[in-house]
Amino acid sequence: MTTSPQLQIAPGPHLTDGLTIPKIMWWVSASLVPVYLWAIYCFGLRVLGLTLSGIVGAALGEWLVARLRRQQSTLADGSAVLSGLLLVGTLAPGLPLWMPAVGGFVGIVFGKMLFGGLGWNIFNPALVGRAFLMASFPLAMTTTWLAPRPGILLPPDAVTQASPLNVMQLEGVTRGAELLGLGPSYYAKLLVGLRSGSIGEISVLLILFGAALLLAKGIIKLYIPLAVIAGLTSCAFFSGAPLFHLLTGGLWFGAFYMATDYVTAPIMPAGQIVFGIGIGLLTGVIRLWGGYPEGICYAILIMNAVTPALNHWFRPKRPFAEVAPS
Amino acid sequence: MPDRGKIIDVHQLAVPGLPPTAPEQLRLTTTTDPDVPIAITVVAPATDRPETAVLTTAATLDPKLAYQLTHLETGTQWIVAPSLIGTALTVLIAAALVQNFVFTRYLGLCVFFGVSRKRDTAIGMGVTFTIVGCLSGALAWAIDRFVLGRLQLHFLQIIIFIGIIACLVQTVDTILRKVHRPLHRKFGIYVVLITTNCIILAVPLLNALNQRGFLESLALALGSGLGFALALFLMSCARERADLAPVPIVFRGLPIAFILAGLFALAFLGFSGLRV
Repeated sequence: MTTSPQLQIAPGPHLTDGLTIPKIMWWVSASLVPVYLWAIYCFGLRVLGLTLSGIVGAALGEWLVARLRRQQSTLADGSAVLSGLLLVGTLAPGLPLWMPAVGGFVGIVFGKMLFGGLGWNIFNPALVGRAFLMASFPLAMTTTWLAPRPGILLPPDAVTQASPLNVMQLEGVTRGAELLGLGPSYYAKLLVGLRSGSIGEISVLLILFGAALLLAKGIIKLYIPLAVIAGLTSCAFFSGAPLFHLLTGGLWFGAFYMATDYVTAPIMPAGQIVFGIGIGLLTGVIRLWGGYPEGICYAILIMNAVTPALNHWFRPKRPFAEVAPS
Repeated sequence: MPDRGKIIDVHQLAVPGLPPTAPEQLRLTTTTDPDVPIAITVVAPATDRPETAVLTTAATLDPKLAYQLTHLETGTQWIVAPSLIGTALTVLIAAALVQNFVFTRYLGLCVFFGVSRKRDTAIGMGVTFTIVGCLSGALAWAIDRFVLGRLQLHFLQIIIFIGIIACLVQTVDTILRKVHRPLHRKFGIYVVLITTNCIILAVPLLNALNQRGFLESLALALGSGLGFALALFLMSCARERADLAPVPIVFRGLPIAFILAGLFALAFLGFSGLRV
């Protein structure tokens, strides 16, 4: 100890491990690359256009608010890019190209920047963008699912095909299972991702691969995703096709990439478990008894609204170690 | 006491204890229009339950309506009606979540923004509002059914309900002050504020409009109260956090609260179309 560093006084946490915000954001974005490449392979190059559109919209919102507030732009930390990327993951591949930009812009401006930027938002900006698009353009958001046609990057015409959950909701469980041909080969297709659906949600295996990467890097923890899956499983038993509900929809994408957002999820593990179970149950309730075929977006938003209360209820009782009376 | 049937699909009706019969022998009507028969096309035994027949009708059936089925030869009658508790539960959940008064009907906003600044005031207001709302809902139902209905004075509903609510709130305030001082000190301020809340007037008006029975009216009052309390509580937690945030100066205070309420409403859209 020859040189004593300048004495620093700052609020905790004091332990750092080099995992900075930009690193986390870019790692999460990188772990999503296989998922999006798969979507491009299945649905064609327009997915790339949608992705760029979403990212541009989100980045524009971030840049504009920082500019108007005369603050240094926070674009380089990657959080806006990640929000745009995540938003596109929840959208149907057949949407008009300008729509993700609108959603990304609204989500970032009204969901995040007006609250003071990264770290202060109550709701997940990507999901705010999706809910906004859903409320504004319900027809486009629910009818533009494309049938997967692997390898055809520039399809001359788009073939629409209802998403599996849409079929299930419209036709009921018995006829829906018949139409989709539920069985081992169909479940294998769901796992690999050969089905219609949102851009980021189709391939369970690739999402799990990305999630494993994040887990290995210590970026996400398993409390929330496992609780979400447990919550939905308990609801899915009432549906008549539990395995189907576990493998379709945005469950895996939502559980690993949306619900684990640091800012909008509770801080303590106990709160996180309650948060996750709440998301799972609400997703099941909306899917089985609600008006929408898929409910994970709204379930996460509703639980985001409960997060400040969960943080209050599950705050640590003793901030420091207890000293035994001598 | 006639047996109860159950609507299982938009065209299908399960009736327990009905032996295989030709469709012409049965007469199905709504209880409100006993002269208009509804055509029955098929009578088949149910596959999943013993001694039950499944009737298929040509017209669609509304699970909210009450139907009456008569066997023309034996004279046996069945009632097909939604159960009272079930309907009340539906009304309650609809009022609390699906059509939350604050987030989907935009009522009661002045009180909502006024007291959602702090968690304590939000809880106090929520509890007080739920209790007073139930009382006023029940009282307004009784006045509407037994006085206004009998005298054909429906056009006076708004002014009478306002009067009832004002009197009731004043009475609760006075009784609370005389009977339990500490409780009054804690909740008295909210009781007075309730008079100006539009939800408390909307509940009896909606009940009168839909001609709801007592239990359903009470369910709507309770549901609106619980929904309001939930909205207040969640909003207060979120606002306490937003108050600490570096919000742009022009958005501080009420503006960011309105944006927050808009985002809450967006999230509550997820409950739309929920069937119970």
